[in-house]
Amino acid sequence: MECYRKHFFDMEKEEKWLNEMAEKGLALKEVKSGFLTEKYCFEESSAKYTYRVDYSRDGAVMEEITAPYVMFVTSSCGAEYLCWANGRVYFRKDKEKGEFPPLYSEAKSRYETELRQFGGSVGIMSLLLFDVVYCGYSAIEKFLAVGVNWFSVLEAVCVLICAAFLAIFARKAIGSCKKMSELKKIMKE
Amino acid sequence: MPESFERGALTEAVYYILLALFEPNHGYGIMQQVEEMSGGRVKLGAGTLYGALNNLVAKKWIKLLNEFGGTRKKEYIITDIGKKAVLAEVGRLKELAENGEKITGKYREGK
Repeated sequence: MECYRKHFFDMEKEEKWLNEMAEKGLALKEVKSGFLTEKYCFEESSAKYTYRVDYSRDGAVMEEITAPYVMFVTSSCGAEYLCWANGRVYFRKDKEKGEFPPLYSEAKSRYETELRQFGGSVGIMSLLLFDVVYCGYSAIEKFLAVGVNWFSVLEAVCVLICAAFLAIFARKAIGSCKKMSELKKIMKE
Repeated sequence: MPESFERGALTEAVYYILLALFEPNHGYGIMQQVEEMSGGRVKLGAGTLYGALNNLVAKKWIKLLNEFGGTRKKEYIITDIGKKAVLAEVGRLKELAENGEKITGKYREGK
């Protein structure tokens, strides 16, 4: 089993990479969510697969296999559900069983999905931003009033963690923006 | 949204999905039928189809047939509102095609 740590902000690039690996005979077995990167584990396989990646649609994390969208893709395309990781779902289909066309055949529908994802990122960002500003302010206030004590240190650590997450979600939102502007161009053509 | 934007054309996917739903049909069936009708040109992606079906149900242009039946293969059928939308679109497309024929036909004759 070969494992790689990577993160793709762009789902299409991720899909392309997985399919290139599959061409080389390395079939993705599972993806594990991580903090900054995902862990992709491959195994050597004689079967050739087509991989497709999409954002999770139903908001369900647990028992994703029974989620309506996952069931729709597996039943309508004859594909196999592989795993869920970090908000994305992974499907594959043995090439011998037939073609597995891209999940989005129209730029407009791909755009709508990206917009939903962008909205989610911005929502989480606003919560984190509130946390950073509010806790940051309160930490500074306490520090000025009583100096360094365990409570202000704890609060400062909290603020830093939130700030790190804020940066990650900001990066995701920027990624979504880039993708949306690309799709807008295609839609205008 | 300005009023003038609301009478927009249906997307190719929506148009063909509605046509495929004059008879009860499920996801896989819709994909097959649309591909067949378009001579292999329009291959609906599962994500595109899923989104379109949900949008059309919300607009009441189509409805779920077996809501309490098996969940694995949900069947849909077009509603009267949906049929009206298709008829309007067929009329619009006819107009486009006829005008196109008229102009390019004259042009071809002139050559």
